[in-house]
Amino acid sequence: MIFNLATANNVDPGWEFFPSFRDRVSQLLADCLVVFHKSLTPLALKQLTDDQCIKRLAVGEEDPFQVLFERYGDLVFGYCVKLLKDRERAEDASQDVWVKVIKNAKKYKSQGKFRAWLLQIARNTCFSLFRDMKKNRAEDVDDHEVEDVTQESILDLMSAEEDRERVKKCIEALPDNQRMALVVWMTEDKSYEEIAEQMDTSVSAVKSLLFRGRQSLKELLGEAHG
Amino acid sequence: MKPMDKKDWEDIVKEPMSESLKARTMARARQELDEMREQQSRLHWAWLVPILPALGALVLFVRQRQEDQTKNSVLLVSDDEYLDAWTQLSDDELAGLDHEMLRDLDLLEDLDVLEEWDGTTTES
Repeated sequence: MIFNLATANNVDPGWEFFPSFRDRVSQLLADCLVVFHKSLTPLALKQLTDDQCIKRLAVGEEDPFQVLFERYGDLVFGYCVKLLKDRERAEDASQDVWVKVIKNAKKYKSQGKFRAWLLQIARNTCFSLFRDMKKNRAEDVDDHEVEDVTQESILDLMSAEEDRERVKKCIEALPDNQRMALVVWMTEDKSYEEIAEQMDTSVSAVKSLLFRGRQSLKELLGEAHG
Repeated sequence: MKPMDKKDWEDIVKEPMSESLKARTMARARQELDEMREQQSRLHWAWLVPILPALGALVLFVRQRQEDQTKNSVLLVSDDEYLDAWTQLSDDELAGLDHEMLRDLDLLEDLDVLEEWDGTTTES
């Protein structure tokens, strides 16, 4: 105790002799870490899977959101455009979709199926908007028995070399209910039952919409060719 | 003619976003993330509130116990041990300690060491 008092004013000579040198070294190390972090981060982030991104998004990280937005932004927006046939509303809808993704990130449990989860949010958002617009009530749904349509039979209508913009225009020209049923069915691989539930109609009505949608698309593509 | 496949269909569904739409979406996302982080940080510390009194009591208890232990450990040292420590100090070391400093060490007073040391220095 007494010896400690006697030596209380003695100072360890170590770093205190070189304060400026110490500061410079620590600053240099900090700079190196920042450069290292910045050079590695974009690469590492792009390599994250969708599930890893959504997990990090759930704790409030912004970078993983940007990665998901870059991966699926065009798909979500395009899906909204196809369903709503209105670019302005589709812009609002796609923004709502991404906000819902952030809000529901913690609830995400569909391991490995982020794309399906995302498109489901987009579909629900668009259908809800569409109901508000009350457009779907204007069109009668014919639920007469028709032959089943396959996805291949729709893809067969178009060649791989087909002008994409022309096909897009033909899809947009389809009647609302036919277009919505066809786009959901082709993009999300949903069953007739699920689409019927979403569109608040019967399974036979969905089958009819898909059949008539295929017929209409065929005619429109033929007209465009002619 | 090669028909389209599902990959071609996805290309048809996709629509390139305008830069302004990208910027607006990112701005909304940032705002949402800020709110989310704020909410999370509130929740993060909220659990502390109900246990704060218990924590305070624990800290007081630990401090009291430490004080008691220090006192006990000092009292365990015998008079002889203190005297030995003093006698081992050289004259220079003793000269470096002034009277006031020694008076601050209450324990020395208890052991009558101070008076003894005062006597020797006076004589010398």
